[in-house]
Amino acid sequence: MTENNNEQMDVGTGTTDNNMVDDVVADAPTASPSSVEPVAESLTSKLKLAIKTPKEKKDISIDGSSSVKQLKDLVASEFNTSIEQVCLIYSGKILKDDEDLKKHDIKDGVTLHLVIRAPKNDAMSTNTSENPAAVPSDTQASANNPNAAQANPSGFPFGLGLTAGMGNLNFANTNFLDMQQQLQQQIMSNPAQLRQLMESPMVQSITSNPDLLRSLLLSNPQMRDLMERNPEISHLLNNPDLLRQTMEYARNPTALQELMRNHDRALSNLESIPGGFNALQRIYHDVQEPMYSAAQEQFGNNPFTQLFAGNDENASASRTENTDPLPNPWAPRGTGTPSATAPNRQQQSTGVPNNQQQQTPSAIPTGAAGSSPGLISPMMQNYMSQLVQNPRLLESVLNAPYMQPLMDSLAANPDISRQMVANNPMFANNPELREQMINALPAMMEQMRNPEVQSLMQNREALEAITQVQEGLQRLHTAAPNLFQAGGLPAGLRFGATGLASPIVTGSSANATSTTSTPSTAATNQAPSAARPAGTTSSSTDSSNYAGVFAQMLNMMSNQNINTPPDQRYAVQLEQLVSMGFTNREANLQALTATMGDVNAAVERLLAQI
Amino acid sequence: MALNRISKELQDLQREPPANVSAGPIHSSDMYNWQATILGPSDSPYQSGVFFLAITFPSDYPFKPPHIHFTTKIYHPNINTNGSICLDILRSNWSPALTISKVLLSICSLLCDPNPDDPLVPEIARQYKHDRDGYNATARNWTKKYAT
Repeated sequence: MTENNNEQMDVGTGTTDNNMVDDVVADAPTASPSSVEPVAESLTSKLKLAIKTPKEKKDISIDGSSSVKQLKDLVASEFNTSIEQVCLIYSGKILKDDEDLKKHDIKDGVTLHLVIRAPKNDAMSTNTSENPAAVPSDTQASANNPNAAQANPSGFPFGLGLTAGMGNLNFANTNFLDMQQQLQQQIMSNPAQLRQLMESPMVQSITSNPDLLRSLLLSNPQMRDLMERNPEISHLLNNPDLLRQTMEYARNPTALQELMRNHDRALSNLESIPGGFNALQRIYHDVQEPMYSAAQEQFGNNPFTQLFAGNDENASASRTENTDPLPNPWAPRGTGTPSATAPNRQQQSTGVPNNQQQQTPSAIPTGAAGSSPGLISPMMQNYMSQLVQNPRLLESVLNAPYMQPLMDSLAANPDISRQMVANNPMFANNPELREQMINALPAMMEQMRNPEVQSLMQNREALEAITQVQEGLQRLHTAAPNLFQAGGLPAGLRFGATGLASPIVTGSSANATSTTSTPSTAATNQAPSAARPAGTTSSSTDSSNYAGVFAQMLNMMSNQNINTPPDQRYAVQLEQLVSMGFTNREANLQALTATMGDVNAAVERLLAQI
Repeated sequence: MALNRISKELQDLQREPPANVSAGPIHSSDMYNWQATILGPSDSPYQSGVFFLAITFPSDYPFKPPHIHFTTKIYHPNINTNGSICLDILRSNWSPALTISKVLLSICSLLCDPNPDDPLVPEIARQYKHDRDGYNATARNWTKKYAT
């Protein structure tokens, strides 16, 4: 943001600089014939102006419709100097001879600055020689801008499909794809929601890691194809700064507005430079057109596929996501038509809830239930509970065409999942837990891909059975708490007891205690140990291993109360920030709270404030 | 909020501009982007120079400082070739009680009295400390070249 701003400002300065030089140059020839034009008698009133030099101040009255030249003449005689040497400044601008006072909005009673220049000499010639050098660099500087701005509109639809903040949707009868489109529309029409979504730590951790973002984008075959055919686009995506910036803009609507404004201004400045218009035209031909045509070719081929889209057929389903060319993301939409880049992002962001279900099964859902209020909104919580109450929905989520590749890619690339866990602020306080989590990941992934487990999650009866088991454990827990504390039960059961949850509890969802874990996750975790010991392939050591992790995690989350003041919660991070040289404790705390304890994000935030 | 405050400052500046300083919006339609001129103070090597600055107000002005930078080249230990100004009140020490005219006056006084101990351009600071005459000569030269 700041870099960009600077760039834009440079453009601005370049042009004003030129203007200034122009002014000075223009003064020389026009001022020399010092003929006094007859002051036109007009109806406008006399203005009383104060003329101020560094040494003295004089009042002058002049007709309101006069030109600057007439004013200068008057001033020159008043201050006993020649008109060439008079330089009048008002409102930060040098008044030019050919303008009139109205243009500068010079009103009665204002003060003008007068500079009496040294008599002209050859200094002017050096000035003009500076001029041509300035122009090319200007055009270059703003030639970069369209790039940024072009990445920008696509930045807005980024991040669609993450199902945060959607409490008011009725999920009961829609299938997942419909739902997603609805979500996208909602998000598009509501910037606040988009912002909320962008600020969720999971998304942030993804967006703050350009490599990850890029690999996610690249994992979409359509995107890859597009990039192969159009190196310009791949260049855009390969620029981590640009990606980050784009995400930043999506997160911050005011920044976006600011950028658009600056960009417009830069463009208009550019157009007024000689040759600037040509440069713009070139930019358009070199960059914008290929981008657009590529996008159109890629995504705009068959608008009718959408009609036949069903979520049971992978190929056509993934195509429906892309049937339209890059639309104007700000325009209200009739149908859910994500733009070209949206689906990729979507894939990744729908990955978020899923990842949570899959690799860090209780991490986020539990977070939603209450460990940290800013983490996921109550609406998300609501959504989770709806999801849980409706097994068909869950099923369609799991059957969504991009789920499978996503899970595959996660399994194939342990680094990504590890990073996700590592970056998750929930574990920031607890390196041990994180370590354990990371170690247990492969087993969990394996588990999730097991069709048995998946079918289990779609099986209402099984889910109910699990719920019953949990309720039983809950009763057992209240009846004989010592049993649990003593560790007398097998690890799997112990976990089940700690993750005391039932669909009913979360379903009512007013309850925000941190121990509630959503049954879907409970289901997965319990699958090996409780519900279907024989049905799963993973070894019992595995299951007890990560069950232990969950128990610990849940404990941590129940301990990590919302009420602990932020300076205690983020004590470690605070110390880190101080050691980095951020000494303003208050600001550090604010940044940490806003970033959910992510030190890196906090640093960026702090730097942006400076 | 920001707009009100900016308009009021503009009014004050037009009525009673401080010595050597003038500022106003570039286009009357856009109150957030201003330009300003500072006349080189007479007791400095920048004497008789007219220096242009660009001012951009943040949308949450006056709670955030305005962005101010020189658009005229100037030879000064606390101002770099991009025109960025190293001045505490433009960064950490900004206070909503400050106004553009006060800030511009501070910049004016910075021109008279550079702060070589917190330089933006270390070479110029070194020259200012150890070779004042050389610094004065170059600053005068640049002023003549770029600011008159």
